[in-house]
Amino acid sequence: MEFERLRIGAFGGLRDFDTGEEPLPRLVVVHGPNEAGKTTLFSFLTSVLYGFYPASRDGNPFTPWGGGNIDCGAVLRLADGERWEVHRRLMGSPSGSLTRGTTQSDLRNHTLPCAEHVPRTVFREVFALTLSELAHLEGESWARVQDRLVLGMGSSDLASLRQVVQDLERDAGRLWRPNRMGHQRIRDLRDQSRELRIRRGEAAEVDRHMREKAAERARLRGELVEARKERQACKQYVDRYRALVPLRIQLERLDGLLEDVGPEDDLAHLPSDPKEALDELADDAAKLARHIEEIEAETEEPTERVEAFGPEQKLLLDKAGRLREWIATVTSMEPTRVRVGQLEQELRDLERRGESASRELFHATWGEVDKEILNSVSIGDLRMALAMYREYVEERRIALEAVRTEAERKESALPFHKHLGPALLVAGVALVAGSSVFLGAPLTIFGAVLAGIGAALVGVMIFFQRRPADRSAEMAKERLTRASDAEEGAREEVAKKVIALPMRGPIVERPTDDLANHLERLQDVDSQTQDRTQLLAQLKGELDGAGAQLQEIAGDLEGLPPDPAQAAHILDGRIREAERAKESARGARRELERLARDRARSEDELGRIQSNVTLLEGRLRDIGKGDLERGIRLARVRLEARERADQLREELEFSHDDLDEIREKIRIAEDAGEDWAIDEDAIEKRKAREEEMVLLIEELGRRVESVERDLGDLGSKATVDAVDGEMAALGERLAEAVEERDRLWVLAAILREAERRFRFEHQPDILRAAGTHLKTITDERYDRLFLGDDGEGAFLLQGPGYAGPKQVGEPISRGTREQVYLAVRLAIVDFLDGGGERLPMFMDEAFVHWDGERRERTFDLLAAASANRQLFVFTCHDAIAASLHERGALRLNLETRL
Amino acid sequence: MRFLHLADVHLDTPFAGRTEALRLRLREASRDGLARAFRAAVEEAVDVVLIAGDLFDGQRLSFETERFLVKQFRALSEARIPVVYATGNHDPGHSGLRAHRLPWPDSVVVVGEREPRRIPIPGRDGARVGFVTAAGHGTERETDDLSRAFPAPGGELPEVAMLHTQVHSARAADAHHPYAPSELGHLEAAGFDYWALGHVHTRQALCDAPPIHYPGNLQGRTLSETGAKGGLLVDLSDRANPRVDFRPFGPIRWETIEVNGLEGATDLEGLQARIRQVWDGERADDPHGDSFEWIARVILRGSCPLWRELAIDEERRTVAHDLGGRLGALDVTVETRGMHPVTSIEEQRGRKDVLGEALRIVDELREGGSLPGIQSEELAGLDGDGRQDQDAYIRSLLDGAEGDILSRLLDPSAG
Repeated sequence: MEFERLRIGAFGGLRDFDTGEEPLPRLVVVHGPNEAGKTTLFSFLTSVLYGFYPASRDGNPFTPWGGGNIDCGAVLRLADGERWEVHRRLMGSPSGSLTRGTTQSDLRNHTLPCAEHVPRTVFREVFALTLSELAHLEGESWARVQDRLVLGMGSSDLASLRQVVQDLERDAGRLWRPNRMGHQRIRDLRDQSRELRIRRGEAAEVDRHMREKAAERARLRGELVEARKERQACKQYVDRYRALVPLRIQLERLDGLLEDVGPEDDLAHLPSDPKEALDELADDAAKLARHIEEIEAETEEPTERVEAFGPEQKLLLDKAGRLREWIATVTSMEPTRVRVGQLEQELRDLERRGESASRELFHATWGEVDKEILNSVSIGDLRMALAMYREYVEERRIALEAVRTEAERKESALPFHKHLGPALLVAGVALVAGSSVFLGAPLTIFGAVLAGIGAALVGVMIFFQRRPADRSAEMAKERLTRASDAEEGAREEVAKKVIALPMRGPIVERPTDDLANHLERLQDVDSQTQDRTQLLAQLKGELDGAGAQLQEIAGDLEGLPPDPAQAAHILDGRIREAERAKESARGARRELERLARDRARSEDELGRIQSNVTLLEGRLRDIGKGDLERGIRLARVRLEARERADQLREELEFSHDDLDEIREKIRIAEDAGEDWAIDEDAIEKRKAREEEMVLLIEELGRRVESVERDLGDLGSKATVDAVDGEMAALGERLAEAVEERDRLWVLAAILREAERRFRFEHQPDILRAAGTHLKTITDERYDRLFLGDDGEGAFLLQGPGYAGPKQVGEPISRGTREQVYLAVRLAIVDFLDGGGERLPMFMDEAFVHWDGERRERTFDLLAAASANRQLFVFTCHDAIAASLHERGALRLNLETRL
Repeated sequence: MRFLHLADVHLDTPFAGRTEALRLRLREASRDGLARAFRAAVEEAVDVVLIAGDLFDGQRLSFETERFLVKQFRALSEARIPVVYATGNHDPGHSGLRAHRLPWPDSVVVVGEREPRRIPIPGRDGARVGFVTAAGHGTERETDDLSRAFPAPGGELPEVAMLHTQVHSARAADAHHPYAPSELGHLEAAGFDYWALGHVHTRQALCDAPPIHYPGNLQGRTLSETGAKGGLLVDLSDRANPRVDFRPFGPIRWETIEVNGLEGATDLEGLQARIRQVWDGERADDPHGDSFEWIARVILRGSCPLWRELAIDEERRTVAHDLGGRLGALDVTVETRGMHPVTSIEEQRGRKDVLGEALRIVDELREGGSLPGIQSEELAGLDGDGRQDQDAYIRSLLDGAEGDILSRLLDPSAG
């Protein structure tokens, strides 16, 4: 693969750079002064092949200095002749296109497919490594370069193999080395292990000591127990003679008293003075008997009170609620009762008034008068009729006066009896009328006779009057007649209005206004009578209802008057009395209950006393062998003995808290047959021994405490199992360290072996090719290049012009070293891209330190190499550019500084 | 007959914990486990407790442990529960040795000699409920098959045999010395209702009819002794249908988890989340997982973005400390051997450079090849000086070697 054309729109300081349509040759020399853009052009070519790195506009150092975006491209021709056109831009993000023939593809920032067989970093460091940089590497750096160029075959992602091996061996050596040089962790751990074994022995010794101490403590505790026992025995002995003997005497006395007491059961709960107790019991029994009699007497009065509250009263109280309601009702009806009396009185008054008025008007009693007819008379009409009648009477009186006047004039002609006939007539008519109603037939006949006589007399008179004597008289008479007729008509009209009433005749004959007034009064009387009668009936009904209600409520009660008011009064009294009786009975019952309880208690108490008396007498008789008095006497003696025994025991117990224990000690001593005789020598010896034992106990206690302290101290020290654990942990760490050390060592050995194999497999070809190139450059002074076996990986030179292998480095000249590495580099790149496109190679100022002959031979070599690979040589030296140009190189001049 | 079958208590085991506090807790754990077991025996009112050897770890028994042991046995004696204790290779019973000299209560029958003894077992009411035939190790290296001397059982009551033995076919038997070896077939045919075995620390039933059981040790002692540890509660009341139930007693459990798939763990949180995920996955099927203290080893494998940080001891300790808190563990160790950058070992193996060559050499060594350029005296831990010994030893060191080579040789500064 080779570049045919380079086009730069903008890349770093380069702008509008174009090599033109003429394809670039395989050998190109880029000539220009320093900072003319040679490095920029080199980076441009790398970017065309591999894309931008860094891939951001801001981060890329070749973003155009004057602003804008990177814009560049190239035309490539591949080994098979295919022509590729590449265009790349770096704006916000990288973009690119690849045109192959008529097909364009999006390249983005990817590596060109024709360069993928060589990684970008390898390309930059091997195909474009500047020899001037190599020339300055010395010593260790030389080895790194050799690693990178030869062992790593340019694999820039690998660390220096030599360094890695050294690191592994160093790390392994820190853990362990076969020799004793330096600090070694494993040896330290083994030293620690030895120390731990010593500590383990110490811990075992501590454990043994602890067991010994524990055994000693057990022994001392045993001795302590024995000493305490002996001290206790001595103390008991001394106590016995100092305290137990007097006490034993007291106890013996106590036992004697208890013997006098005899069986305790006989005296259990006996009074201290049985006789006095029996007397007191008899007194109490008598008092109780009297009290019971009093209770019986007190019972009579309340019993009567209870009985006084009988069934009738109970019945009454059962109904007391309703009865009280009824009484209240009856009491509230008292005004009604008064009103009834008033109404009755008023009715009687009205009756009298009616009767009186009736006597004036009627020939019948007031009771006989038909009230309906009476009330049917219109008083108004009657008054009008009476007024009419009064007028006609006056008219007739006037007419009569006239007649009389005329008559007086002819007085003499007229018999005295001229008035007799009408009088008789009227009387007779009135008698007929009145007799027909009240007097019977005989008077009617008599009246009719009288009326006949009267009529005859009237006729006579009329006859005489009709005598043609005097016309005026005659007219007066006629007027009188008319007036009389009218009067009669009016009177009849009045009479007609009261015709249905049994009116007295005179009243009808000569009716006056009193007729209307009387009738009106009578109608009023009747009206009032009716009203009051109706009201009376209503009120009486109410009163009768109360009576019926009483009957319903208290029909079974005897002795109640029918009158509700009286009955209410009586009932109220009875209820109050029944309530008092009931209350009294209740109180009486409580009293009776109290008396009953009192009696029951008294009887119980009496029974208990009698029982106690019986029991006590029985027990006393038992004590007295059937004789009560003797029993009383003996019991008293024994009780007194017991009292003294109790006092003695109390005193002993007060002065000796452990009396039972002491008694037990005495018993044990007695059982053991101890001698209770006092031996002062023996007591003193025992006291002295007790003191010895006290001292011994204190000493043993101190020794036990000391041993326990020792045990505590020993227990705080490392135990064997703890040291064993530490040893185990150390052993584990030691095993881990040994394994880790050997592992690191083995890894280092693996890498060394890998290096050896690789060198064996690949270096011969590369070095052979490099030796060939070096032979050309040095004009056969050096014809072989190889790596030494000293493990340092140094290049060695050999050739016919040199006596023996010569290590590359000082004192070999810098130019020779550069020539070696150029030769190696030319060999390596052929190895690296041997299976793919041959990538261009760049050299920058590689020949400055070289002598002219070797440089010329090198240019010949490069010209020959350009047959297989495009070469770009960057130089600021015109002579170098010219020399290469002479060998067919295209000269690209970067004339001006950027 | 109901009994508690224990074995391999190994009191006073020298635990190799990283700190003194941890070692102390582990020593206490063995005692706590035994105390728990004896409490369970009392609560269950068993007829007898059987201890099939290795009650303590060696002849040296600390003063404190000795006192603890006697106190525990006395408590059991006060509960009127007898003990039959057959000695093992760690606690042989010849006179003069520790098992023989301890002040056992009368209720403890110590079978310290190889001749089998048939011991009647009284029930709670005093009536005989069965027999235990047991033989013990007299010395530390008992090489005979002691089971051959067991007399044939007979009678109406349950017959139990007890022996500290390595049955050839037992799982994980290789981890133990082949003391008092026995054949499973012989045990099966011996006629006993139950074989109470000890020696192999992995709990297992060698046979169901008749039941032949190792209860495993009472408390795990190393990272290789994982899982719940305890004893077996055995009920032979119905001889035709024996019941064997495991009861966990050891308060501390050891656990090792291997964590792969760490390519996505780009920070500490993600790393711990992944570890927790693996841990929880392991615990999901663990019926006894809730009531223990844990000592955990976490082995991180494969590629991880944090490989460089985890290669530093201090960083690993930090991760372990945080994990201890998250997992509620007594102690956590994190191992990262072989951890490497995020790349494929297979791809790297195909490289044409020295890295590819080194990986290929590791493969050759694993397949039995020899590594030239290294002498036996250069290796600190090599036992033996033969080439085969050396090759085998080197092979044993290759765990995670590819990852280590990658992590060292790949230049992190390379673009």
